[in-house]
Amino acid sequence: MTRNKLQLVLLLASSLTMLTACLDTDLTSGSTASNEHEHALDINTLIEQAEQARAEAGRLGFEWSVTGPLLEVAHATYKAGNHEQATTLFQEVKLQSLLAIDQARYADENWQMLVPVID
Amino acid sequence: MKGLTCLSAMLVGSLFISVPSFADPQSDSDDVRAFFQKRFSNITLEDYADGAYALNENARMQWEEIEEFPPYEDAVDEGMVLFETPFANGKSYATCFPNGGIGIKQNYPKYDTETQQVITVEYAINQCRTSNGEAALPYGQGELAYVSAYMASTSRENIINVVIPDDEGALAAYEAGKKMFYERKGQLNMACATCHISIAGGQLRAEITSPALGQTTHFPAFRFGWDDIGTLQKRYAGCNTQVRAKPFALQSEEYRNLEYFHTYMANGLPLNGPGSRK
Repeated sequence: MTRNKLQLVLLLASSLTMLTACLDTDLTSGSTASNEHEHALDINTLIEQAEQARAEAGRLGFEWSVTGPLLEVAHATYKAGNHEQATTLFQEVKLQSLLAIDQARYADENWQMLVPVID
Repeated sequence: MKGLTCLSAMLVGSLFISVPSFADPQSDSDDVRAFFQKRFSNITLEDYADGAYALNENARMQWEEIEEFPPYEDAVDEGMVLFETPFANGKSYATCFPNGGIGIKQNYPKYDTETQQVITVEYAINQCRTSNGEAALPYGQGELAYVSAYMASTSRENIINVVIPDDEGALAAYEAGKKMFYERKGQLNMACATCHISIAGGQLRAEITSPALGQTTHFPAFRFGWDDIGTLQKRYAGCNTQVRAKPFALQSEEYRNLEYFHTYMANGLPLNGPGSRK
């Protein structure tokens, strides 16, 4: 096998490995699998997770103003017996809160980026 | 070899990334001024006291027309009456402030080294009330804002002179306020600096975004959106809400620290509050 052919084979092999890894990632942590996992969660666990995440975002001073009202709607929906809709709302509260926590971490490390730079 | 070269480049590069470990307020102030002087080379430092109206002639003319019959005049008059009305114990606001509370706003916020906290005028007004057996007033608008507006009116043209003492707590409070000004928040992921540094002088919908420098000079302010006079921290809460961040409580430690940093940036500018804003 010539040197060029060997390089081509190695390139194809590494590409296939990376593709497989990406597919594996999608299967284990992709949005579809994540959603199925969330649906499988007991709604009480989801409520607890959503409220804990919201509390943490608040503790960091980064809670979004839309999250609290959404949580109220989620609880009202749950009380009204619409558990499927309530699950979606609690998932959204949890997602917003986790994003706010990430935002706080990012801000803590990168807040200087907006400080004016004098050329 | 390539890897080593990259690593070396990153290490050398990191030496040039300036991450201040502690506050240097004067240097911060100089940098902010230099930034704005470069961006708006046609206006003077004093002009920044007029906010966005210093940047647009048409908006300025409208504002000057409004100021001929100031919409905050009644609030200032009411504030004066409240200021001069004795508390139930016979004392008054004048007994709580230096110089009887007249012509002193340029020195606020100040750092109290005893209690290790930033004291704003509004915070001091409520401290005065509670220490004299009166109930604290709501911070955003209403009677407290009127008293504050009256006190601001007696300080007009005085030059802002916020002092940051050589005290670890004071510098930490300043630094916390500075950090808050520059960190992105809310669902829209925007910082105070996004509108008032990065795109200052640009437009958000129909409004010109005002420069951060000088924003504190004219508060409390009558805003047409409020249809009343309100405090600077009411505006902070409004800004936070506009980027969909949950606002802090008015006169919370966070907002007082922010006001400390924000007002320090305006040192040397004349007070012109209360003012009117759209």
